[in-house]
Amino acid sequence: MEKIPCKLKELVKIPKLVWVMCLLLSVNLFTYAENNSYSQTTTLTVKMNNKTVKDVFNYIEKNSEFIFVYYDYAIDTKRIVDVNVQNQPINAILNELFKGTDVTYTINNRQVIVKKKENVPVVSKLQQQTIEITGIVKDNTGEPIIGANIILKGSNTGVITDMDGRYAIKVLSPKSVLVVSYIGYIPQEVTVGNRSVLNIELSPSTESLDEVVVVGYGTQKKVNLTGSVQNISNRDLSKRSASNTSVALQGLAPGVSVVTSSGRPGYDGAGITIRGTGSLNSSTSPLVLIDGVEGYMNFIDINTIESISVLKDAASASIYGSRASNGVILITTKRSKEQPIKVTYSGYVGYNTPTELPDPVNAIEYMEAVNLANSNAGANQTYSNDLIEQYKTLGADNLNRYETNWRKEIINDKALTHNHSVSITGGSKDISVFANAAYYYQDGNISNNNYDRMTLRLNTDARITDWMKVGVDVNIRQSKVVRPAFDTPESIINKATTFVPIFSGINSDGTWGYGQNGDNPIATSKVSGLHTATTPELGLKGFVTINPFKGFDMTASYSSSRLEDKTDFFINPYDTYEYGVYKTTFPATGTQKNEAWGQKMSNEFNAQASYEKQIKGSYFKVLGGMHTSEKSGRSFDATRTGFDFIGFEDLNNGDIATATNNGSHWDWSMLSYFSRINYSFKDRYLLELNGRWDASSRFMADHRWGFFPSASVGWRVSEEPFFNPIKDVVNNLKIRGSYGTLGNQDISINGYEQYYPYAATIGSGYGYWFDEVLGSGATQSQVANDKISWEKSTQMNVGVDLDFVNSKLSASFDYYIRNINNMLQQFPIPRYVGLSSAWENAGSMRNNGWDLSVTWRDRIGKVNYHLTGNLSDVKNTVTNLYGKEYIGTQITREGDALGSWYGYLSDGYFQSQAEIDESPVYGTRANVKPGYIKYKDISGPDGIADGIVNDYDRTILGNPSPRYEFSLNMGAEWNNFDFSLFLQGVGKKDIYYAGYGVRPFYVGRSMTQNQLDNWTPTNTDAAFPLLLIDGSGSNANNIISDFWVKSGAYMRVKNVVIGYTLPKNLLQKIKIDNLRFYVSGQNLFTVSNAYKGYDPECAVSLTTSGTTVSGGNFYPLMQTFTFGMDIRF
Amino acid sequence: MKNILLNISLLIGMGITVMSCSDFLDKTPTDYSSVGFYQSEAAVKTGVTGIYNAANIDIGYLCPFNVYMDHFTGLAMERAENNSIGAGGALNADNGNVKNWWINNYVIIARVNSVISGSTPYLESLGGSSKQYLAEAKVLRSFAYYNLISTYGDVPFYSEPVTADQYKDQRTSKVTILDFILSQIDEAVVDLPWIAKERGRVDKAFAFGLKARAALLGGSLDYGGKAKDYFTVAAAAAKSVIGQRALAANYDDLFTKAGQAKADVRNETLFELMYSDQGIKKFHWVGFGSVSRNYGQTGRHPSAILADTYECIDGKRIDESPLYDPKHPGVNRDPRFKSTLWMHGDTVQGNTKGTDAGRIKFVLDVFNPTTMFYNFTTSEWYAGTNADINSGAAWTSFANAGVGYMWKKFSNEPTESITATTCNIPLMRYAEVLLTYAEAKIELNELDNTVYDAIDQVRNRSGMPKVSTDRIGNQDKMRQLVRRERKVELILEGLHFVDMRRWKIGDLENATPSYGYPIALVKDAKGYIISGGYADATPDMVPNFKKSARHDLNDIANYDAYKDKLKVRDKNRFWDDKFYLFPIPTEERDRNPNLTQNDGY
Repeated sequence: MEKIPCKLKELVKIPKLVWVMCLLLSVNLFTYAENNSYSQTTTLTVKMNNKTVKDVFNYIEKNSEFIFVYYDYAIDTKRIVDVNVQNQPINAILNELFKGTDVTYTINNRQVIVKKKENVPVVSKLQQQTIEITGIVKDNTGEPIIGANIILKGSNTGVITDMDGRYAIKVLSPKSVLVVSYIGYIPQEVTVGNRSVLNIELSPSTESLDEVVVVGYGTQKKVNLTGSVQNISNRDLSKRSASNTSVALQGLAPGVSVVTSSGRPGYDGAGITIRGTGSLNSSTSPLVLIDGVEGYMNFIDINTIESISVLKDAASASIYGSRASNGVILITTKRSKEQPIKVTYSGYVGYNTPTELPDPVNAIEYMEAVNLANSNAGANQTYSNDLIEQYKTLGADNLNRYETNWRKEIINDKALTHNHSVSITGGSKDISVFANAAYYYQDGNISNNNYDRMTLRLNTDARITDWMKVGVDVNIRQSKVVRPAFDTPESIINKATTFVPIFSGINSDGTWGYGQNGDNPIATSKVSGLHTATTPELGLKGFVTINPFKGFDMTASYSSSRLEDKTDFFINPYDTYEYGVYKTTFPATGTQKNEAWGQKMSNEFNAQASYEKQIKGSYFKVLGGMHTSEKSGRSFDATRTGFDFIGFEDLNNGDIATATNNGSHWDWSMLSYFSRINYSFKDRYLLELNGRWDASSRFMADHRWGFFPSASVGWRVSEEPFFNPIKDVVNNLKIRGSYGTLGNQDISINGYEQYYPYAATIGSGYGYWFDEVLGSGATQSQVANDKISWEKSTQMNVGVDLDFVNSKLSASFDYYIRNINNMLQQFPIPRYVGLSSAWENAGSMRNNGWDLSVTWRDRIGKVNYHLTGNLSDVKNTVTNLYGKEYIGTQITREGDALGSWYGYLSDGYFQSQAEIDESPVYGTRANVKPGYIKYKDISGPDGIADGIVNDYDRTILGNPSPRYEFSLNMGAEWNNFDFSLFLQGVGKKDIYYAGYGVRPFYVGRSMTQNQLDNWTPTNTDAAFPLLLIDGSGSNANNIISDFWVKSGAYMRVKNVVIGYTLPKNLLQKIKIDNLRFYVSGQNLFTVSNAYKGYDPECAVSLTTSGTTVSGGNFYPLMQTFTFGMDIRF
Repeated sequence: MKNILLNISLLIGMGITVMSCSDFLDKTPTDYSSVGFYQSEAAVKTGVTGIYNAANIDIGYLCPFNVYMDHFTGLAMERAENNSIGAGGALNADNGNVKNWWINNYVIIARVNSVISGSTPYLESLGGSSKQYLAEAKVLRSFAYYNLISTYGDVPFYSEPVTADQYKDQRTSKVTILDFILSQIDEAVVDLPWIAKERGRVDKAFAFGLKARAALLGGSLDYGGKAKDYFTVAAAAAKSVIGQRALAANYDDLFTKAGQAKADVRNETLFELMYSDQGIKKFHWVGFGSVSRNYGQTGRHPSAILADTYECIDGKRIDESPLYDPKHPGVNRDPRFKSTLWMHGDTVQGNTKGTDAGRIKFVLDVFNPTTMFYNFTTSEWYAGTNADINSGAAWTSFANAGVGYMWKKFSNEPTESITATTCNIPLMRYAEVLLTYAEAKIELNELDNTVYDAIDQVRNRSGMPKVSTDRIGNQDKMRQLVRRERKVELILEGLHFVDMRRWKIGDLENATPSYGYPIALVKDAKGYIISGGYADATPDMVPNFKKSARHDLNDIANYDAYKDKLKVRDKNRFWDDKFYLFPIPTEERDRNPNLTQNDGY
């Protein structure tokens, strides 16, 4: 009883429209269920002469709620009849209609089931009437098609054309329908009729106008789209043999920016942003839905994907409201239809090799460079000339003189990768199954580093009655990441390219060298123990769809997924030696075992209903539904050190006094209602309205609900009568426009999601050691604001779609303006507050840009080819921050792009002491020498140059966000060969290099070959300034300036595939439908101006935010060569 | 079918109704709510522990701030030449240490403000030791403000949680803040015991000691023209501690794990950063970053100016004592020389593993590619490679990047692994209070027996003679002595960093390159020393302390006369008076442009 007031309260709060909608929905259902006497109470008037039976059916369907259900072959619907009844119940009309035939009917509510009289055995009768049909299947150029499928509709019977394109099939009656299909062509359905020879011509399937595209909570014909939706088919994805889905998406959709930032096995997923960075502090990633359920696109086998839809504009995405601010990616997995069982295998094997790696100096170069740096600083020579001479004459013996090529010892040039995927598809009228099992393995480029993934997907559909379908989908995954226990692969690779070459790595007697203070990355990667992370995932989804009458469709689904993250590592220290003497055991903290377990649970419920109807020229469709989402997570971990016995690595074997453990949990939930109305008139004038109401537990009750509406219109100009004269040239022309609002609440700080951002909390974990015993301490670390609510964005989109010359050329162009308002952010507050700032809804920014896609498809002789070019741009401007600024090496302020590089302007080098004496300098003048970077004095406290270079002289240096992203996808087929080439690139992007990446001797490290080109009195226009030991920020050369900002623009040959499909006639003998072999190469060639050794696409540092590039740890991107095959039985 | 449809619609209807209920969307945060949190003793205790957590400021690599900061003076140096503050241009507004020091102290203050204001409504009902904890918090806030005004001068000042309308505030006068510190401590001491029951907590002795330390700053820098007042406060505050605590018997015990277990060391140590080798360990790298390349990393080194400040055992400065021998600078010296420093010829004991197998014992050598090592299994000495001279990283060693001296203080640990030492790091010792008392009284020119006694206690403990009769009644000579004592007694405890600023001797300490041991003049083909070095040092190789009266007063050695024979580094060393204050970090001024910058930056 307690719940009632609460319910009533909530009832009032839910927007009225939702309630009206829901009410309608249930009223409709109840009426339907209770009024079973429709057929008795309804009367009809039918006056039709010289019409077919089918016409009569149609007429009745249009003028009543009756629906006729029948098999074409069972009754002759083309029989000409006259019907003349007035105000009669349905059975009277039907009796009249079927008088004197062997047809009977039953009425089930509104459903009229028409069939042969039961005393006439249909099947046996039909069997007696078997007809053989023969013919040739050809393409539009008259070439026979070998291996085309001919299936008798509604049966399991099917044949394949031979090498001349001929086929022969037995059918039941002249009403039988043949379904003829072949990959790359539009499937055709032909009614046999009275013919016995049936030649069929298939047209190549260019992006067909009949194409259906998956949109939010449904599908839609592509021609009727009014928003900006990009559809990507499985064909385009799977031929890349990319390691995961996000990487495969790169360049396939304009306006979708895909940045791969790491080549680490299992972590090489790309970051995706749609139409620019959509938020300052909230999530900038699109919502990814796999069959309607939020999921992880990189963990599914690409071969199971049927299609991907990218909803780019607000109108398309707003039915997902709150979560859709950054666009939506809808992944639809394959399902089976009524078809014979087919087995497909796709697999490849290949190897990965780093695209770029810094090239470190050798021992002699290193020592000479250090001495030069010392003398540049007026400091003592570190390495005596004697020692260098010894290296030159005697070389290194790795006992008295060390030289270690860390990069060569640690990084393997080639790492194995392979993928295997087996799918089974098939089903009858009642039940059909798509099953896929796949295994993927990727070896890393350092020892003890690899990734594997096993996935199993089962999509089952069952038809329970004519009007009800149910389905169960199961998705099981287990992936495992292995890496060395003591250090991350990124850090090991960083050490491999920056460790001092005269440190000991492997001693001549086979013992481990002392490295840097015992840290020996060779030993770390090979013997320091393993860190293993396994990630079991189980996703279940069940759904029921009912179609009680024509046009009405209702679906309810429930999905539950559990993602676990189990890691454990055991650090196994190694002994290091130098000069034949034991030095230390590393790490000195000794053995350590950690086991951690985390779990994310997600439960989603979705219910929706839609009704569509065509009334004369008007078509309309109404959709309404609700969605709930509840997520929770918990984690637990435990550690011990002090393991005394080798091989016993369970926590129990460690020193109990060192045992520690941690645990926590979180949860959040969302409740949503959505609705959509589509209307089109004469297939020319299109209108779509969307509305979504969302409530998130991330906000307090009074600020919880958000409403996100949108509207879009389209005009298919080419369908207008006045367009007819040029329709031969311009086959299709559509103009679209949309406007809508989206929300965002997915707040995170440094990648950590904030589940209770409104709350002022005191966190534990701030202990201190009184009397040597750790006591628990707690503190508040953030200012709170319980009034925060939704971050909202609005987007205006206008677009045009065009097809020319028999759809050979098609183009699509969109322009959009996206405004993000009420941004959830934590304004930088003075550090003296001692807490981080509260979340606020404040500030706005704008992304405006355009997407262009142009495709050309044609054939020259026997060569089919196609070209698709994509080009897009997005420009970000922060429009309102209430005068506040975020300043670091990046600045976010009004009027400039988000996160622009911010620092000093360089003006070459100081070439002489005289020049220093007469110029403004940064820092202390006594400290500046010739060969230092000269900075420009551009301003001062009063806005004019004041002769001092200090913080007033900082300015915008560049923008790290990519602009003018382009791609070119070319493909061609000739006989049995296929070829594709994919170019991709970025026209403008600025990379700031810092830290280990570009600073010689940074924190005790070495330097790279290209840094040998440093300033000396005789090398005055060197690439690097005066060589100094000090790589830290206190060296005036190392402060952020445009000197260290380089263009990150690039163009790269992303992918090349050459395939060969074996001739059908050969395969037919061994009962194989299709067999194709291919070789593929990825990241083959790159044009760029970035620093040598660093891939322009790769994030050189993973310590700062994922997309910015600075020095530090990174895992290089990979060039991949694979050999693969696809086979279908 | 009727039923199925009915059920489905019922289900959906129910779903909608149930989901509409706010329960579904009300999630409770998993952390404690800050509203009304501090209303129990346990909560106050937890919150105050969180303040201590912030007080262990680590601005270097696992190196407590106070140890680190003395390397920004002329008495010590960081590994990279011309790089430490005062030795080059590293001190600028973008310097990371300068920024972190600012942030960390304000985090302490914020935590104190939040506990104190959060518990204020419940003060009456809070029982047990709550008042003591809150008093500790107030002292810790004073400590943080002392850190700030002593390094940045005027700074933003708050004794309540900062509100949004204060984000554009200006700096508050250091005098105002100093007066707050002094009054806060007076308020807090009422609730504190003279010696804390739980080691690591603030007690009355530390509170008064801090008051003395802060007032001495105000006196030395003549805050608000009230130098005399502040010296008087300093003397009085220090005096109140005198007699309440006592010096430990053995100076060496103060800085080793084993020694710190003794009751007399606990009694002398007024406040310390706590480390632990028990359960969840807490260790530091003070030793690892200081010792020989033969078993450590060597990032920080003592200077010769410091080494030459130690008197000879007769109580005379080395340029004045007949006992000083340039061939053997370590002989006949103030015993604290050997307690604090290791040098060429000394036998060093350490450990790399924390087990018997990790023991290392060898002879320090600044010249030769091999040196003698002790084999614990065979109990024999053998010649092994000397990594301080002959290794890829030898350039970082005390012989190359240093000037021949190595920190023994906090590093002398033969049983714990050098990479995980757990001796506590004192932030205030009774010895400092004695010397602060003496200095304040000397500056007030109130030279009486209590002054001599305070200094004598410190000197006698280490076996040094009493204040010599020629100094009695002589303010300048007493000033010289008390400064000398503060350096040799307290080096590496973070005090000289502020002392150098109080005494305005940055220009003296940092005027020349750093000089060191007598270098090898001739070496053989294998790199062994033939001539030069300590063996060939001549009697005239005694530094000049009398380059100026200020040099003399502050015991600043000058090596110009024989500098060519000495190890040298920091050739570009220079001093700029702006270094007496840190710059306000750029980031902070970006966030609040109303904060003015210190002069010269």
